Amino acid sequence: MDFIRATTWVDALAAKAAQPGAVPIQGGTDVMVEINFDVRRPPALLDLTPVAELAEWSERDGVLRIGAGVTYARLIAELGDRLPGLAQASRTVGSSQIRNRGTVGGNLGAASPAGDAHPPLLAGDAVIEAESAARGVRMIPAAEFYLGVKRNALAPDELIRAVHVRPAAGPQYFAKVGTRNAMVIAVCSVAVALHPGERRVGTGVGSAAPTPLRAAEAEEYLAAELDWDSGLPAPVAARFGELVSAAASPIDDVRGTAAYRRHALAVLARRTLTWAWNDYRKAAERCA
Amino acid sequence: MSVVGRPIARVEGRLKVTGAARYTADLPQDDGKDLVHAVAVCAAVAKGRITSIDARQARAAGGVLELITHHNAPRLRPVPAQEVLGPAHETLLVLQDDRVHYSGQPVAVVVADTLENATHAASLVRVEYAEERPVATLFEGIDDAFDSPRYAPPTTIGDVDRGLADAAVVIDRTYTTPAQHHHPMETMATTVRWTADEVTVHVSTQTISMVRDGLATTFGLRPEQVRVVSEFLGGGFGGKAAWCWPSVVTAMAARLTGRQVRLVTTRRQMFAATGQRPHSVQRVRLGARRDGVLTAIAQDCVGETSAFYDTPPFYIGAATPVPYGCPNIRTTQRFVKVNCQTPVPMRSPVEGVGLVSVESAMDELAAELGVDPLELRRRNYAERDPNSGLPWSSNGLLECYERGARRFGWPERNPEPRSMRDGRYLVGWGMATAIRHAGSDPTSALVRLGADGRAVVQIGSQDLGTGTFTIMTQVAADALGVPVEMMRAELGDTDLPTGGGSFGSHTAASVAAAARLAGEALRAKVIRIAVADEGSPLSGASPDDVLVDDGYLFVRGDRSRGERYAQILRRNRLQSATGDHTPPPREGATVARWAFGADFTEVKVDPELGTVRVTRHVKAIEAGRIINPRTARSQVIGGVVMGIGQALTEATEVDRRDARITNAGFWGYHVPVNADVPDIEAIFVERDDPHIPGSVKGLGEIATIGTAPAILNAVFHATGKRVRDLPITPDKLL
Repeated sequence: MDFIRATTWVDALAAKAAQPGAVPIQGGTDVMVEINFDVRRPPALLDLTPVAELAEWSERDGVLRIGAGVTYARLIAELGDRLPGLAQASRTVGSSQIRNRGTVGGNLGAASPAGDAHPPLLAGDAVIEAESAARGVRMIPAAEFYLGVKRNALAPDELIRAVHVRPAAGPQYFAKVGTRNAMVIAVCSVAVALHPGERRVGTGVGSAAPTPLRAAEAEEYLAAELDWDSGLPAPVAARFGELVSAAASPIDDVRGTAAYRRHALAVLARRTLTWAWNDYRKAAERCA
Repeated sequence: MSVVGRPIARVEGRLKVTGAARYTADLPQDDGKDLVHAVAVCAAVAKGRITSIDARQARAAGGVLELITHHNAPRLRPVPAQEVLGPAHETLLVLQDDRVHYSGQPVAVVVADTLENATHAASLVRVEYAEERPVATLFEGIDDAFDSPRYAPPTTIGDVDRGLADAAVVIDRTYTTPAQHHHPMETMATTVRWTADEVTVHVSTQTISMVRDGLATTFGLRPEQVRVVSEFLGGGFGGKAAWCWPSVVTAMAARLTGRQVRLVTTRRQMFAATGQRPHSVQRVRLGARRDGVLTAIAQDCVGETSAFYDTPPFYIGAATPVPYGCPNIRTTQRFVKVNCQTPVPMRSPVEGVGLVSVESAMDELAAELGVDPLELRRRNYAERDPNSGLPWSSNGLLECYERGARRFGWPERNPEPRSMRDGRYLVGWGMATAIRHAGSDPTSALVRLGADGRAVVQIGSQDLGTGTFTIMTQVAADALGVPVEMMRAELGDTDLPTGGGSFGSHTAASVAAAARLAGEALRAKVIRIAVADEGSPLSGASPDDVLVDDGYLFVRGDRSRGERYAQILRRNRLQSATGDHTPPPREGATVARWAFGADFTEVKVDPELGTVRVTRHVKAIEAGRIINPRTARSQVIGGVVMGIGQALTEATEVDRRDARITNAGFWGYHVPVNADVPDIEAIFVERDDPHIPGSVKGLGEIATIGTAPAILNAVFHATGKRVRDLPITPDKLL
């Protein structure tokens, strides 16, 4: 197995173009597990850790651009106030050692349906900035990024440069169920993001289908039913939960049964929406 | 002042927290070049025959020195199991023929110059099998279950059928417990050097003497030709108590290559390397009068054993007749041969498994009768051991109930299930009784004193990580009469005086007894020398009148007439003495020796998601006298965490079609993490026991027994739903 160390982004793109089978590696918290378990033996690893710009984030025109090499620990510390949903999800990733190494870019590259970053990225309308030496930059909305189990929309010569996402315009929540209280892969997870300006609620569902997904019908239902100037009727929250659950296509596996996942998704969706709604109403009443 | 009973810090603690302690896989190679690495290739099917092994690619790979299969492996001699070697449960002779008995059984071993080369070459070995249909779990083979009058004879006390017939209330329930794996942080590591004179084995083991005897037997050597060293252990929990294949194949590789060979199993291989706790089905019937007094206890268990094994493993009901005074008790066990490794001890193989059903059924009986679960147990307190009919050597169970309950606040419990809440969580309080036989093993100790006044105590036992180095230092220092800083403990080498295994909760009792005898013998010896030494102020004194305090020997009543050990030793040179502890035989015993405990636990359950969190746990234990409350408390914390895993998270999942383990890694086998573990409080009810040296009953197992059933009972109290199939995963509560 070759080990290619790119020191600049241009070098990294050139290396990926020259050897499309090379697997990019940042924190290594997914890639090394697969290699150590002999699940995959790529022809080459492309080490992106020396590429300094990947570890940076910036803000321009009201959009955050988060480099693919920004770790979960930094996301929580530096962007937790502006991306609360993503920060909540990041806090549930592995142990503090893993959060010090793992990155959202890596989560996107692996595209596991259980990746914790995916639901808040979906709910927050994130866009993935991909780039290749041959064709330059391509912007891929999160909702179009996940194609199948551990498959994403990247071309073989593309690398993930950054994630673009607007700071939260309203309350955001993430919740997951695991088989223990920490350091655990999600049995299922839900993220919601309130977009009060558009009178819309974004959703993301994890670990309950071949890919992370948005619950489109549930979002449409809320867009039609919600009265943004009043409380959240319990039946609306419950129906929302049912629709989020219906959007999933879970399976039975060692972590949980499909039936349990469907049930838990409805509970998590109802709860996260209720928490977000309560926060929103509280803030609205304070302003009034 | 006595140091026994004081919470001194671990004597090897600094070495461990600074990384200076060398565990087996850390040991540097002797000369910088000699050490080579072995990697096992493990069977991909659970039952069948190997039809071909294509090793051409592997042999041609870089750095490969040797490739061992059943075609070229050294021939092994059978190792007799329980009769000779204690829990030497793996009787399978590895790499001797083409049969595969369980998934993960080693079928080839590659030796190469580096671990990476060995790992790569192992991945190139192609093995073809003629697969046969395996028996995956006891449920697939339940029709062929057999009993074992030799190893698991039924226990019958009184007349259970009459006891059940006379009962006002009968509880008849069936519980299942899953297969589980030990998973110490340190996986199984062995390094072997084989020369014509001696075979030197560094190995992570709970019993150096058994590894020595086992290797000698299987390779046809004399035990004195084999030296086994295990200085520090990163846990074992029973998995390293047994004879296991990684050590055998490492020795084979060392013999064939003439090199020093190391084999460290991977975490995945730990699912078929050091055995497992067997899956069980336990039917319990309790008969009781309206006031809760038991009229009958019947327990019928079925457990798994390996397909190739000829001597069944644990009789998990063996302790069922002990906790409660009941005139009519019957326990039986049958076994099913399954394509798995041979079960080995794990975190209390008898009480820790077999009492789960009894303690849950007691809780069900309490609910049925409307009697408080603690009160029900008090009403059935056994004044003598019901099993043997003998009086207890000592018994602090009632005080464990009382102090544990008081500390926990048990009287505040609302008996109604689902009656206690904390916000959206249902709150449940549960309790259970714990008992564990208190035994020890024959153990020898040597204490040596130098002219600098420093002493060393040596025993060929080992420290599992529980604090054996520390307690041995305390006991020997007290016995000799020197400050604890002047005593150093050595363990983990078969060149030292022979000690027993670190299992069965025997270590503290065995090591403490031997260290005390040796320390006292040395003190007496030096006193005799001093009173006969004309240069000593003690000259001419009666030995019985010489006292020792803090390394200073003096004549009773005249503290000024004395001198220090160091001064005597400078004139009389190095002195040593041995002590031999011989446990009383179980046959013909006049008392029943047991440790006791009571677990009280609080859980909070999310009623919509079925997730359970243990939020408080109080454990009261009577284990005689506690040598070191600090290391003892650590053991209790560890034991309770194991109980949380047993109750809520840990199960080895087997695919019932092909008998392969589907969650073979920490990604899928979930041990509790910090967020699953609440504050754990340990209360020690101390008792003098005239029938046990030093009143030391041992803590290893009593620390975990009782915890899982207390949690099960708390979950019922929280939710009103009784789960009888462990572990309680969220889906089972919906």
